[in-house]
Amino acid sequence: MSSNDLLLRLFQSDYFDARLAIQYLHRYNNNIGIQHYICNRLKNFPSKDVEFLLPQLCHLLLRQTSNSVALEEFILFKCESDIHIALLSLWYIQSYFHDLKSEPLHPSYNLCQRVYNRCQAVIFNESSKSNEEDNDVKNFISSVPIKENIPAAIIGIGSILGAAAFPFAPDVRQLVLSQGRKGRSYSFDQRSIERNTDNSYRRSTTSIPTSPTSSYPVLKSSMDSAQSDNSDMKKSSSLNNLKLLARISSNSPSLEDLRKGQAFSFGGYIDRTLNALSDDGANQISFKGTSPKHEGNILKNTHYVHSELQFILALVEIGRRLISVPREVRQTSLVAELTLLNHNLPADVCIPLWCESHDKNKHHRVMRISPDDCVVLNSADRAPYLMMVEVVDSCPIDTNYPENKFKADSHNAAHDSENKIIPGHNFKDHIELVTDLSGLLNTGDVNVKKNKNKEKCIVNEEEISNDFSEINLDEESKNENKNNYRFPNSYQSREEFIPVSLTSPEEYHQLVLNRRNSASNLSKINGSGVIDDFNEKLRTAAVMLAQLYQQQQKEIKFLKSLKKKKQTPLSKSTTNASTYTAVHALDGDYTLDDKLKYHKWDTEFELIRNRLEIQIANRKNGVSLGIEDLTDEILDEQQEQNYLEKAKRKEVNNDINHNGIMSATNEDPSARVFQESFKDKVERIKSNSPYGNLPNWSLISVIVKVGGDLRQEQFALQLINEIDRIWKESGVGTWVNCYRILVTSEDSGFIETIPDSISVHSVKKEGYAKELNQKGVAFTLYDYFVQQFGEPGSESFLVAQDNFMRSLAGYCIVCYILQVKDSPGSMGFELAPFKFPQEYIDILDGFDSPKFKEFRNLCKLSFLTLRKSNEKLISLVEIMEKGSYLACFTGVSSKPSQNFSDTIIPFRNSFSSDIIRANEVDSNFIQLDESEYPVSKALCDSGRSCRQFD
Amino acid sequence: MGSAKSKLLPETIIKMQKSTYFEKKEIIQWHKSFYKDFHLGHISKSEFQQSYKQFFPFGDSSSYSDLVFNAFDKNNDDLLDFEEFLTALSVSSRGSLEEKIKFCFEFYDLNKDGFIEREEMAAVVKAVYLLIGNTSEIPEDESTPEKRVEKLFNFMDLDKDDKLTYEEFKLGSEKDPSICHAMNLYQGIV
Repeated sequence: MSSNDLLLRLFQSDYFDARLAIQYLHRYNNNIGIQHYICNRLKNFPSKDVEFLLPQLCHLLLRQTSNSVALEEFILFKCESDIHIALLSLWYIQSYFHDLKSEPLHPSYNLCQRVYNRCQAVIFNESSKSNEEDNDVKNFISSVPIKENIPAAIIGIGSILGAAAFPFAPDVRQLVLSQGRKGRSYSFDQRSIERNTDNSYRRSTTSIPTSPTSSYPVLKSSMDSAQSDNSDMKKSSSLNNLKLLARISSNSPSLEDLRKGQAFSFGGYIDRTLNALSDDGANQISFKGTSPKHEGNILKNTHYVHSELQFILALVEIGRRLISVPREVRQTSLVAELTLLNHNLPADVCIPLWCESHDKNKHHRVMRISPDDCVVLNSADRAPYLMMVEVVDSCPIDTNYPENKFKADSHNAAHDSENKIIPGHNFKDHIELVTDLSGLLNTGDVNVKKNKNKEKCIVNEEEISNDFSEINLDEESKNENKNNYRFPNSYQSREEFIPVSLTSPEEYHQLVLNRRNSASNLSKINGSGVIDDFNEKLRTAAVMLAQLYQQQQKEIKFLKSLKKKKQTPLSKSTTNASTYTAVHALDGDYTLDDKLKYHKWDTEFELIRNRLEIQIANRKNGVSLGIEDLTDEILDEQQEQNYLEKAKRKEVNNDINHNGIMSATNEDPSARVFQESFKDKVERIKSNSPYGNLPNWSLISVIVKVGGDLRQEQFALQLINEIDRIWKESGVGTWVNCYRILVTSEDSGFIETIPDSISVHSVKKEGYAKELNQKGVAFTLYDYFVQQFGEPGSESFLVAQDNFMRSLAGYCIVCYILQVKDSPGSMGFELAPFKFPQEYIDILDGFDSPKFKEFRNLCKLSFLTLRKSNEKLISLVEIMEKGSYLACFTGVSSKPSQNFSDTIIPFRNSFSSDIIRANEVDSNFIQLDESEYPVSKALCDSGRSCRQFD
Repeated sequence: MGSAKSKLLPETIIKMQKSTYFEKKEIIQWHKSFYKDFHLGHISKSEFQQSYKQFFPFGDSSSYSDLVFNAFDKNNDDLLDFEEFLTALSVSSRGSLEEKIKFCFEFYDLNKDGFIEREEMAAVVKAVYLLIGNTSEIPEDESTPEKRVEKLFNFMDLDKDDKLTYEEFKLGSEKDPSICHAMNLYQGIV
């Protein structure tokens, strides 16, 4: 009893904050009362702290067994009150669900599934209390029946008995009820689990309309079961259908929607909703039961979340598609994709984590993503990309969608959908792609056989196959030369284009017409319509190309069956030839896995790609080619050689003329800093942007990374953030810079960039290239300091030196604490293990200098400061350790593809193993005299720990 | 009573259907849960206390949990069997307000003489305050058990004889919204 008295005193003291709270959530995981007490307190701590600790909270919830439901209730409570936390939670939970897929019988699996569904229910506003007609929902919230929990019932009866003596406070009531509602072991029926693992949660498997990936319908079917589990929810009401829908239509935006420019617009949302309604339940859904006003409200409320998820998903999917596109066209594809995405901006979407607002109705608003400033950052087997997102801060969400407009829209949409093949059919998009492609290839002069089959997307299979066999014909012989083509990176500079007279296909005009104001603003700024038109086409083509790649996996089966039906002798030989070429071409760049994947590719797509590459390359050089050149004749080698030479020449010119802004090397984007500081870049983009003059305009520079689990990196950054906080609080003066990482799924996320950072490698390379040193003498970091900051001893040099020292000290300690072995190779980080080279010592005036002594003292002090607060760090690690899938805890990476295994190894030791004295810390630093002495080792030797300094 | 049989006999079910507001299916469900948590088929006083400790870690729950236990334990065998539990649950969840008030009155009337004396009320209130500890904010005019008892008797004890008759207790409870609210905790959800 007395121990809990002390505990309560701690909880009621001023020291008790969110960080301490989760420590004790972890420690007293099975004490129902304490769990509820802490969670109640957490509600009053700043949302910012809760957001920071969200990884731990989710981990505790999903991986720590507890009889208490307090944490679950708390997270859902936060989700309801803070939409960013809701989104972040949803992504975390989703990624945990991915982890747990392998053990569907684990209690956590069901828990995870349940929380995910509840989180979605919260996000998609199913608990909206605003409306009378929401009665069923309202009852659901306030009068969910309790389940057969004996202890909770005992306490409940006790509180009723004590009613007169003391009407128990609301928190007791809530405690009794929420515990009372707790399901026994969260049992779901086994069938629904199987259904889930089989169908719903498969990326790019079968039968999901309009888009190859599906991240959000994850637990769709289980949601059904959750609902049927709950007798209170009336399945058939149109209200529920609407809600359900908000969740279901959660594939990344379709190409069609993107082209219409309304992927994130409210109108578009309603269209899709109604389409899906008519698609889904056919006539079952009637709106008679509820008023249009009410429906409008629901839609409005869900619109932001829906768009936001779509937006993030769209960005992630772009990254995913980039991987499957050959390296040479990745940059082009990216520009194209982002241009297309831009048609849908500005929109009421934001980038969580960067959007500081915790107010439900105020976010920054994404205005534009400058396509010209995006860069593909090719790494070994991934293609992350850097993008510059223009946002306007504190923008209230514009959901004032006029009621009558809603009606009109819904009417139109419903009407429309009658005339269309509903996008439930996989093929519709594909067909459009194909027809559009042929239209695009026709650009230029004649549109020969353009789109005869395009009437409202109703195409029969025969025509499709016709389309393909035509392509087969002319591609066959060209394949052998395929390797000769090199696709230049820098076609973007508009001045390069010689205007060509274009007779645009009709539907292309429509596309242009459909663009929203933003896009047309842009085109005004960007120069003549013709050139813009043309760029547009190339971009669209590249996007379609990329999408084709993505689609083909799914379509391949169908195509093959078609081919069997109408097998022509030609297509057979084509297959052989191009498969051979494809594999051959891939030898150098791709891994075995990729090769196998590529092997499966159907030839047609390969051929289309070839043609497009040529087409784009030619256009780039201002060579106007008729469609016949591509389809009816075979390019002879001579011609190709010409193009190639011209392309090269232009590229060189480009470099000179444009100061290489766009042609900056993609190998190390940090090298760009030499050309343009971040400030200049912001200014340039601001002045080029139609939105640059808006108040609160700002620019977010962020990397979208797909194909790797960022949770571990995010965790590392979280620790560094905490270290930084401790140092800042103590005023020790050590400097670290933290960047934000947003985890959007188990294999994707956004990473903040550090402006104006250059890798040491680039510094040296630049120095070498400019021959800043005499020949034979390496350009060192010290030389760079002198070059940048002036002679040693000058004031500016001393300042730079001091900054360097503070930063280096931070780096050393962080490396030691986290035992960093490897770092992400995406943004110009050194891949080699961290060393402490001589040149660092040189910058600090050499080993015996006062500055180096100061450095050592700073390191010591920094370390001891952390040591004092080590509980804060250790608790974060402890919480994450239990049941974790992070490679830093499992030791052996279960997925060999993971880049960051062993980034962090057992952590506690750095603080908690045997003890050393302060002077040992000092004396051990002396060992740094050897250059290349690994700092982590130096500190390890010195490190041990200093428990007695407390 | 308090048999260790985990199987619910048909006659017991029929009996309970009559004596409680529960249907057969519900009785079986609760019974199942009861046996999962308490394998012996009954809850001892210390197990009962343990549950209270789990829910109220910061206070001294022993005296209140004993009081509640005694209210459940109709046959005074210091064991709480399923039937006793379900009867209490039935009244407190599906009983009318009057039934609940009656149930409560018996709880406060510790010596079973048909009146709640001031001392009896004081004992229960004190136990509740101990149970809650300092976790909740309590209004100034109720900051101590004494103040709360004083307030209650000012309000309920119409004839000022320092004890509450059933009628007085009933009237007072019905008039106080917060008491009614607390009594209706399980209204419609059990």
